[in-house]
Amino acid sequence: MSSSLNKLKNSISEIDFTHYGWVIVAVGAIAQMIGSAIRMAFGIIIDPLVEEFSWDPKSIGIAYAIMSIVTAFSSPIAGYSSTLIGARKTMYIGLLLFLIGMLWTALASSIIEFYISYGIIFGFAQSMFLVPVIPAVAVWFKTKLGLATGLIIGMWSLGPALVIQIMGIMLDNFGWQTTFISSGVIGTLIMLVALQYFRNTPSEKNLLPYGSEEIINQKSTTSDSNNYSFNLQNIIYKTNAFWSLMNIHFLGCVGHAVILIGLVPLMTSKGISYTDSVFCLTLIMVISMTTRFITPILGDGINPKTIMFLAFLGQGLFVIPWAFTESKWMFYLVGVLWSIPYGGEGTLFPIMNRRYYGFFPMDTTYGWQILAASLGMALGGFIPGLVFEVTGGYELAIWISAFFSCFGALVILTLDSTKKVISPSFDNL
Amino acid sequence: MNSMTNSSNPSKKNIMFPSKGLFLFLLSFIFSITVLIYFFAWESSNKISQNKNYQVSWLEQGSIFLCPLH
Repeated sequence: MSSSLNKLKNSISEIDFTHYGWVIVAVGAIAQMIGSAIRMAFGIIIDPLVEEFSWDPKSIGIAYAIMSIVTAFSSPIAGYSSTLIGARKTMYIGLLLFLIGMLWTALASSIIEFYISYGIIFGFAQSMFLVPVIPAVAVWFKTKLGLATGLIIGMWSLGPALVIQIMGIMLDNFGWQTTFISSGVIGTLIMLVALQYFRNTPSEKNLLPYGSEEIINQKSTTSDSNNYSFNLQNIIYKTNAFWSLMNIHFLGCVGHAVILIGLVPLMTSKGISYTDSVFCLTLIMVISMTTRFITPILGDGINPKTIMFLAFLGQGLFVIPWAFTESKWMFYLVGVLWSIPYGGEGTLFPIMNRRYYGFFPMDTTYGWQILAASLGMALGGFIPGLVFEVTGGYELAIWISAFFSCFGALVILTLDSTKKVISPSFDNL
Repeated sequence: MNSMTNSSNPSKKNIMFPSKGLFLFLLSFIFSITVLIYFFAWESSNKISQNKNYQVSWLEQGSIFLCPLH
């Protein structure tokens, strides 16, 4: 283990940050910031909508549910689109939908209009933004994929935290409609500039992927390349790893969604103040940000299957004390422990895809994995409320969360070794 | 690229039916549906027992019908 860590340390010190792949990482990080802020911005517009239109919060919440479902089911479409027309064009479509969604939401005057603008348009925009980013970065990095994806995935937490603060200040000063219109226009302009520097593949820039020492066989035409990708994808569908990785992403997301939705109500039901309960959730978000960045690097450098197993097992076992504790400080302590595996749980999928299928366009595969993750988040978000309705407490939800995460760890154990690609017949791009 | 350049096209050699992956996937799906049906049926039967005139929705009626424990 120590020799692996030394190897990892040495490899990090030898990174060439002048390679154009890091520009792609920066563009991807900006896209992640804007894309994930769409989802996070929802919380700050509920009160203004209630005030202005007298819609009840439950009806407004339906828009969020519609958006989550549309994002889930459009993720494979976004992945397919990225394979077919390239990540850049797919992100341009996402950008157009983002702008339409922001402007329409700001001008919506009926709840149905709000469901269409925020639920459907944003739902599509989010998948078009988020799904192609990681697969596009994967094409640029033959080595150091863990660091590249770690930087982008870290933005899932940091980006919304920054954007929400800025939007909150704007909301106080300019009102929610102006905030949405100006955020939409500014976000679109930033992405338009960033996408000018984005290239789908290193060959578009006459470069080799980071860490590649030989020229990759390029297909002669786009049509050949697409046929090759779809043929490869059909083979991937027939592997155990494809179904198991989707399953694992689903199980892990159910496991942590239960906690993210149910922790604050659980703490307040034990007599802990709302502010202290929210602080526990904030603590989890801040600590998980670091493991979200570090885990892909560790997984890439050591063994992604082992790291993923430990993350799932930790996520499953560390929640159990919450079912028994009454003390605020115990909630915090368990929160600190739990946030470490939670942050690392969902970040290793691009690394696993690379290990199993080699250097391949993973857009469609990743799209299916995001579909499973989104459905897991939806189910996990639903469980605490349902459990509270029938039991009058949240303890049973904690056990359900533990079960789903531990079952995910069990499924990881059934995966093939990541030491070689599943089929030696997989070609490169 | 050495591990990926052994042939010019992806072939179906060494690829079998993904029985293990599909079995575990379906197991998770069935378990998730079971959890939902169980809690929905529990909630619905609570509502019915508290109020005999309670109008059950198709979802509540379906969950009680499917759940052997309620």
